[in-house]
Amino acid sequence: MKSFIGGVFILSAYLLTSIAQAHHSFRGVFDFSKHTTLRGTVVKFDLLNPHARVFMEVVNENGETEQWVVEAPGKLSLARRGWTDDMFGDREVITATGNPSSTGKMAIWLEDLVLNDGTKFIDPLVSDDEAIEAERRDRAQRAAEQSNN
Amino acid sequence: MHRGLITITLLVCAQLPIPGMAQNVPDLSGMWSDPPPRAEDAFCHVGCTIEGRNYLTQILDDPANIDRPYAELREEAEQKQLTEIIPSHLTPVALESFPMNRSAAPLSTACDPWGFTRQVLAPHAFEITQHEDRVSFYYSEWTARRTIFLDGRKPPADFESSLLGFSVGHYEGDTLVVETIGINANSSNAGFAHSDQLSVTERYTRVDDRGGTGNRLEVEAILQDPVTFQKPLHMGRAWTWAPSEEIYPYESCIVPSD
Repeated sequence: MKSFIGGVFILSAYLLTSIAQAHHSFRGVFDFSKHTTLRGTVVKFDLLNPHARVFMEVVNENGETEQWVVEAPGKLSLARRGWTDDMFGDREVITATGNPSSTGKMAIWLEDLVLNDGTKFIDPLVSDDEAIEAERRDRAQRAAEQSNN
Repeated sequence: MHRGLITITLLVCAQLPIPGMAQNVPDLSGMWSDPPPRAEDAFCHVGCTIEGRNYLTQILDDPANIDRPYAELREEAEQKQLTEIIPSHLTPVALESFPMNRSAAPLSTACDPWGFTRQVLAPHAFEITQHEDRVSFYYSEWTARRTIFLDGRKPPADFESSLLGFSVGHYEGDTLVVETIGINANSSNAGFAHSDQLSVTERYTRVDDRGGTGNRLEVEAILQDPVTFQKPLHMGRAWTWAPSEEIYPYESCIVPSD
């Protein structure tokens, strides 16, 4: 896989442990320690079960067009968060960030996706993580207060 | 007088049983789906051991852990489940293949319908329909269907084991109790594989949750298998009442990144 400075940005590995990483069943398929950002044109969208796929054309630093796939949870999860079959305009330019394939294929596992108008969709598991961490902080605070009383 | 008659009629009707439904059974019918994001429910998203869930509750509410993020506590509970709780239930034979290497034999990445334990504890929408003589389960994952017979029947003489087995059930107070046998050997989401001697008791109970009465459904599945377990393993998960959710078909399954 090439490293691009144009349409594709390969980010260095995060040391931060992601809760979403623990959820996924695809540890052998995607590298959840790395993050790749793609900016390109949506050419096809399959909002299906068990997995959804966004097909993108991305122009690399050499001006060559590459075909990438953004893999995502299935319609079961995404429809609950507002994803629809017609959410992308005709050849809409989007930005998608995700975990790259472990096998070098031009595919990422969705972390977040930003439409042309700025609307952002986050991997449902990641957005859940934020709510759960807030709950944990509340519970920890209550436990500490009870312990002090 | 007229108004009084209407009132009496309504009161009488309210006492009549719903056609096709026995009296005094809990109303579990309708669409259920994932609960709101919560610590224990997320831990049990695809099923967990009851012991593991209780351990997570214990460390979440321990003041000593006030500065530890959820990811760390969850990982500790997962390790407890993986290295102590589940192995303590397994036979020596089952321990030989535990835990399964998920990278070498990915479970969700294969486009095969799920086996019993994964299906019963599957996430997302799950529809229950109750009848007089049976209960129907319709799962969004793999659009799998199960029938739980309430009429006391036995498996047919020519019954062969299957992915989801043969299920009978009855009500115990507010709980639907389902007994299943004849399940094909398969793997679980918890790192162990079971034999075709697996038998499972599922207990479904509708309970109150934050913000609603009776809007939460819980299951405890008790797994027994002389080949796999030296003592019953208790697993569980929960759903939330979700009348607006739909079940979508499974189409064009492709292994991610293939």
